[in-house]
Amino acid sequence: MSNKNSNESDAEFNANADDALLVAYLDGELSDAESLGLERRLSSEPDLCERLYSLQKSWDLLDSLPTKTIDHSFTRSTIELVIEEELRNSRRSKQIRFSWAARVAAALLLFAVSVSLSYGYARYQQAAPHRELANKLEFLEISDLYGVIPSIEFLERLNESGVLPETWFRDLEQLQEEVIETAPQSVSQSRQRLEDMNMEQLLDLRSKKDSLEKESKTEQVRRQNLHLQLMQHPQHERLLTVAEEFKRWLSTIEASERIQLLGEEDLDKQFELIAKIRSRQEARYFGLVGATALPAKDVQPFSEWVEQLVKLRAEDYVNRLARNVRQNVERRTSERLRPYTIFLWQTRRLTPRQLIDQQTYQDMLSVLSSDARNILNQQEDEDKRLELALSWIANACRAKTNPPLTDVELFDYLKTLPPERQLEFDDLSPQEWRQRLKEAYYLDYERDLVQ
Amino acid sequence: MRRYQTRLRSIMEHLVPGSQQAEDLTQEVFMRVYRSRKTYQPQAKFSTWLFTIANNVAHNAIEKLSNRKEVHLSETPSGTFPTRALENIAKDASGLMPTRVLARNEQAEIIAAAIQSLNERQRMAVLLSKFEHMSYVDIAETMGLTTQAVKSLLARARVRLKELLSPYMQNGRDHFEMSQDQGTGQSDDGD
Repeated sequence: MSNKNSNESDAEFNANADDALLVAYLDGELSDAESLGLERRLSSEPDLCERLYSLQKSWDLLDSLPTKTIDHSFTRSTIELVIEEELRNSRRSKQIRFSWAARVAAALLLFAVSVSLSYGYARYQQAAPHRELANKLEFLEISDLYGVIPSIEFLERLNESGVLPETWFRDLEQLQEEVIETAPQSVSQSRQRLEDMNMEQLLDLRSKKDSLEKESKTEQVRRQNLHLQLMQHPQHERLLTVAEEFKRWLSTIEASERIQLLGEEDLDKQFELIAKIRSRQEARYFGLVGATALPAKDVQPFSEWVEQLVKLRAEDYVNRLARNVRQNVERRTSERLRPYTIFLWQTRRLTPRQLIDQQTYQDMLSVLSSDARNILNQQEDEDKRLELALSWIANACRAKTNPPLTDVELFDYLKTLPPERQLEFDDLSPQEWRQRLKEAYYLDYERDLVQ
Repeated sequence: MRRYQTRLRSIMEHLVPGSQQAEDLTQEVFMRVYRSRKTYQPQAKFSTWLFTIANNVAHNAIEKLSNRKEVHLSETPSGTFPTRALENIAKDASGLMPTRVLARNEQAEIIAAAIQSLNERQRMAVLLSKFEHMSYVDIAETMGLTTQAVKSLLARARVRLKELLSPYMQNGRDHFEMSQDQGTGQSDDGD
């Protein structure tokens, strides 16, 4: 029975891999060698050929969707919007120019008077709401942030727990500089800042004010109280950054997870949920980091097992580190993510046999599915099996310490390498290029953390 | 703007409900492009930059919509907006098949519903790949994903499209082909 299930899962796994290959082939995204390999298979496997045909056929159907053309009025109204905005932007710097021509002097004078009157009237109209904006500027700028923060206790605990991704906190100082003006300000300073704002910033502020006013009175009062509490907190700058980071993190999770989390009122349960969502997120990232053959269904249990393994081993590894390396690691990484960094560092210094003993290997097999175990068993010998297992463990560690890399980030990294190292990446297929460059990036990144 | 407006609006129409909203969002994209024109780096592809903005605008709109309506995410994989289920459209149409081939507008409706049954990210990747002919690298840059992620996203999306549309392309010459032939033959009766 279990053999049958395993065969079915194998077949499904292979079918998914074949589909990805066929789609990439149709999109011209395979290397010459990969295309040639697939074409050989296509010539001998009629079923595969049939799948390729239906994928192409269904794709071609999309061509028959009608395209509605946009009429001239759309273009015109967009251009008008742009002009209107441009006019508004330039209003402040606009200077009234007088003509030297005497024959139009009277007309110009009249025009200037009317412009002055309109301007004065506009300023008068704007003064009241601007005064209100200036009085509340400090609060209004971050009022939306308080919408996702239930209490100061929540922020304090979030700060201490370190549950948010490490890389975000690493940029803490930079973020503090750019995100929020936190020092309490006088109304005249606020007014000056309002004057210096461009149209987009003003509109943004207005929309924050509007959304705040749409909230119930109780919620408005709660946010104001939270703001006052936060401003008086000894760590208010740090907590504000943590709040910003939490809001940013919320935007990276699924909508259903967000609704569940924001709907929870109990502080302990909120943190349980955050930990669960983070763990799911890490598992998803693990699937994206590096090209491993670990089946998708194994990602989460395997990731949890690695968490236990690394925690158990961390102390032992720390003791083996040279003192200066240990100090560097302690200074540059958070307590939570330190074991993973140390484990990754050790994967470069010790052999797979030294890192994975027989007992650990057996433990690992017990959490893996039969598909994953088959992949390991297909390796030539025990050394290769341990090597593959170690690459899975290392990737699970990386998923906890690093977000996945985009090709743009890889390009940027390549540019930072000395020319002789850049040459190493020439003449590689796109897939190899990404894989090798990614490995180099992570190795450099981990080396930076410890040296 | 003229070069991209129709293409952009077509993509928006598959991402958000209602052609008026699609038009508003297209306009919003152009406004944002105008506002951030100074940050555009000429070495980057303009189309990638434009569709990155479009992706953000559409994503925000979909999120706002889903927050406002508190939609049941389990009901639609995209969790975006209620749409006429493909199954219903297919059911309507199957009553008429195979004796009557699908009319051109029914065909478009079924294809559009198939696209809408994909989740938000799959849909965007499909639209960029199909209608903008973007490479995986460009789609990845536009959507802020890895190329590997785009590859599996597109594979899953295309298999799903194949499954949904396969009833209409059986027996060699499919119903859609027949429908198209009829359309070009100036006959819409279909009998």
